[in-house]
Amino acid sequence: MNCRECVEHLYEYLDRELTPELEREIRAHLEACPPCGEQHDFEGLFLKFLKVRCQTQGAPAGLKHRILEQLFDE
Amino acid sequence: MQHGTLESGEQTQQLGEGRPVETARRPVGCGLHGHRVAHAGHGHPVFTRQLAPEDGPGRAPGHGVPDPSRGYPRGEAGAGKDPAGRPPGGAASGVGEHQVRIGPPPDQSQQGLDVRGVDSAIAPHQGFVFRQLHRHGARETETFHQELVGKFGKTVLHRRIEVAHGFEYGERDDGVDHAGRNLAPHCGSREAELPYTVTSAVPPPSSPAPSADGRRAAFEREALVHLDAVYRVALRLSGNAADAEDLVQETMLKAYRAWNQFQPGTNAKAWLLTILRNSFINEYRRRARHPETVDVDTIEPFAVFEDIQDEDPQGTFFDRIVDDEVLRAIDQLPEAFRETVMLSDVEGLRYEEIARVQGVPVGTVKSRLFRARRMLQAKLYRYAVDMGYIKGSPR
Repeated sequence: MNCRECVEHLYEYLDRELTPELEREIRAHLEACPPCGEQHDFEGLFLKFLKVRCQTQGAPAGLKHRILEQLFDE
Repeated sequence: MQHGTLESGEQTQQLGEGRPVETARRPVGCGLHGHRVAHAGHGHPVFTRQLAPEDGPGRAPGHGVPDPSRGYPRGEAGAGKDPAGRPPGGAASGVGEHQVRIGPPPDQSQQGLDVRGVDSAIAPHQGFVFRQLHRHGARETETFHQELVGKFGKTVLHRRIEVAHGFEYGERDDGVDHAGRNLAPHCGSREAELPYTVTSAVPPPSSPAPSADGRRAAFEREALVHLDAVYRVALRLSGNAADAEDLVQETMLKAYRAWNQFQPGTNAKAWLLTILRNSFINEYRRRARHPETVDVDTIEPFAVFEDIQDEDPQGTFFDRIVDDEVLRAIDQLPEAFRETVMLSDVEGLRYEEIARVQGVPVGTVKSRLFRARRMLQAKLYRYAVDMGYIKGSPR
């Protein structure tokens, strides 16, 4: 595993979408390579940031009520 | 009951790519019950409806069971690959089996392509089946698609978008065809829209109908809890709150009506988002309002980390970017990328679930996610530099 391969699979690693074998290889590389480790932390932080910022928005108040009315009172 | 049959009248021993048709002697069926495509005499099949009201759930056992003499053992290549997450063996259940036949009837030609069963046995073949259909007439296929949506309350035909690492027919994402052979990957690098594939046309086996109260309670517990998620995605797709609310209401109504088709134990959020997507494409897409989206081909998404690893390797500048700016950046992504980011990074769907929702290979999901994330980073980084949150380096 070299740095290029590691970075190439970084998102899949963060998303837990790799095979156990490849995941082990990446983990080992990240522990041994500080620059890749830093990039891993940065990308992980970015994904958390995206999730948190986008999840602040939810359905408007009243929408659930309207749906319940539509579904069960028709 | 009449079997739906598609008869193209065309020899099917060659795929368009010049490959010998591996499936030419195989039964091919697919769940497209009650439709007949008659040869119109000009080389194009024409769909004529022969939908029987009782067609679909609860069909007579034995309907569409593969002929062992021509057969392709059930559960062979497609077992476990059913996109609907059903257990293998759907074709064996005798419930909800449908067929589509493309090519001359088997008694007239040994070259006829005949696919039977839908779920486990058929899933790997369907990209091919619908590519054939598409060649015969996109309009007919589209009409057929709409009918199936109406019948099943969900999309069973999906447009396929394949990119560089797609596979020759696109039937399966794992690069193995129904005969267990590795397929050569495509060489192209541009996205090409292929016709359709069927993910699942088989309604679940009928079970005793739950009481109205039980059905309502189950729907509230398993579906309505995802209301926020459905709304968030609807808002990003439609680009305005009024359409998003309508879209969500419509999605929930369709979902409730089709609730008996939901497979307990599968991801209800992904199921709802599939219904949402189809409603959006069918009825809202043309009036969606978005800021001008970026052209992905003109942007080389770069790794922001390389630029800021000395100045701010912890990415603290992200903290200063307001929520609206993040949403604005997402809105500027092309629709497919925007949707992929929402499904993955905001709603937490797995790659495979996203692939099913969008009707694309898992490789396409990965590729879109990679590019979308890099584009978002680049956009937010430039914003942070412009706002003076970070010095950055000029690009």
